[in-house]
Amino acid sequence: MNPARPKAVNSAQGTFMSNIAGKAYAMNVITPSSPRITWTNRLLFMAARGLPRNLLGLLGLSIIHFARWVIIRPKDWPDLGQGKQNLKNDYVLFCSNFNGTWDQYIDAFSDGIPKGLNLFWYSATKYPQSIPITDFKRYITYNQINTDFYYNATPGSAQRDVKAGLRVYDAVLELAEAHKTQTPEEFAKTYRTAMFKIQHSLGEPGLGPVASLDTERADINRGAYRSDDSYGA
Amino acid sequence: MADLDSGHIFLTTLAPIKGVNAESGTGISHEQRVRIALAQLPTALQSPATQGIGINSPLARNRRTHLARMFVLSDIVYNGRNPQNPLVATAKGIDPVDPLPIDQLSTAYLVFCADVDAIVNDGDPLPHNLTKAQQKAVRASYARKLWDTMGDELQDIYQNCVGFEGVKTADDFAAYLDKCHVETTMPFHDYYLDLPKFNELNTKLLLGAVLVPAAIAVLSLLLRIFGMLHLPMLGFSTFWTFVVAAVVTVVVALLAIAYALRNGAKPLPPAKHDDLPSVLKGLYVQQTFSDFVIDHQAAEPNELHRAFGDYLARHRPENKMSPTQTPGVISIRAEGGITL
Repeated sequence: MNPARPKAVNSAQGTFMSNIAGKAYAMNVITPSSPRITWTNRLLFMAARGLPRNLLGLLGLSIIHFARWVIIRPKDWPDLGQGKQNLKNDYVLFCSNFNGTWDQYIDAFSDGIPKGLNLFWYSATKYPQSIPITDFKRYITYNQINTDFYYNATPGSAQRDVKAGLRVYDAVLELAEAHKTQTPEEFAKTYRTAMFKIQHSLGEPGLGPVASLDTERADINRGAYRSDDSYGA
Repeated sequence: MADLDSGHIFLTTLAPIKGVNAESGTGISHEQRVRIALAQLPTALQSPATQGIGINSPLARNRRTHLARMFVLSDIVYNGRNPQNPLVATAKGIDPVDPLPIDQLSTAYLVFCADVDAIVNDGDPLPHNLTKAQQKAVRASYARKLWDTMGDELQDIYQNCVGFEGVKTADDFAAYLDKCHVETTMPFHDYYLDLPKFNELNTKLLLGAVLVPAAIAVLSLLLRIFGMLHLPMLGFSTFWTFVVAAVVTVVVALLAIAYALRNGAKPLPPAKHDDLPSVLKGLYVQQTFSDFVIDHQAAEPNELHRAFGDYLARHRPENKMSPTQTPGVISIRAEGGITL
């Protein structure tokens, strides 16, 4: 283990937490739901997956890498010997990896897919609806749990950047196949056609803007452990 | 099992944290010790400050994790008393001054969520579908990978969790994490260059199957109410027609719901280049090819053909494992940004 590290850590030292990793923001929201109606939410989730027009709004936002909704019934809370949870409600855990700030995300959700939001949180107790946005933002604030640790394998790339990179990758793989068989003149034509398709996808990843002082402080505070040789193996 | 979607496992685990009375020997609660361990865990090299630290996250030691998070759930959220109709409350004799029961967890939980390639060997293609047992095997494989690459850090964190005492090996950790597993209900992911083939639900057919017997039931009931004992022309009893149609309506409705649930749980296919090695290679190719394009804007066909051959030989786009962008760095320009 790492016995040397705690010298730089105590709970009063400051904010270590950050919901942000590069260009991605980790949102965790947990909302109560009456067991009498949670099944309707499960049905709505599954129906949405079978009705693409309801997913297209979510896909169209183009700011989410991965997201999930997890319905946790009282019996689902793992019991590893500490005893079962005595709860009257089901809980829905929502975890999202999105690009931009918290406000931008909520605004995009509320403006872009207000109906979809209301369906996905249909059974949430005291859910105020996605419009008007003030009550909606207040509800998310009350029900959000901050992230203690967040890892992003591609921190320099937003979701659209990743897809742009994959478009270029796909085009280069096709060009590689063409390069095997085509004459230089034929290949130059194929190359120009490919460039016409992917010219807007070229570029390179970069640092995300610092979205908050918490984010900056969290990253700086981790520097306190730099002298610990046991990391970075 | 909706853990699997688009070739990825949406891993969700909840590990109960030891209570405040459990022996820790430090005077610091286990919950706080988990938070401290997580605060100490290096993130990706994602900002000037973390680049200055120069220590990449231990999660960057595997090429399966797209995104992952850990957080302490001290308790579930209470949104205040639920409002109710005062007439109903008065009739029931409910005094609003009396507090209602409030849910509380008996122990805090460490929540670990990860978006992971659903594979058992690095570099494998993403699967379209997996059985329940295969999904369990993928989760176990991932847990073993984590233990082999960041066992010390996991020990630091999870030693504060209930039931972790006997975990000494990768297999032990896989078994432990499986006990903490909670199924993801609704996954969502989008790296699609072209939209996938959805498992479309035929709602018109399903609604028709429910509404036709329902309409017959309602019609039979109305005829019965207005004194017609038998259906015109058919001669069936309106009462028994109502009963049979009502039962059929309920049964078909339940079957339709079960079908919609099962259809929704079917995984969507993976995107064309959706595994993490391909994503990293895609970003690598994007950066290197952008330079190539700039350098050869006015090249003649012969020169372009030759130069592209050189590009292929140098950057090997067909090999997604190398050379490529390292996990957890901003770009290939960053220090240590390229894995050869």
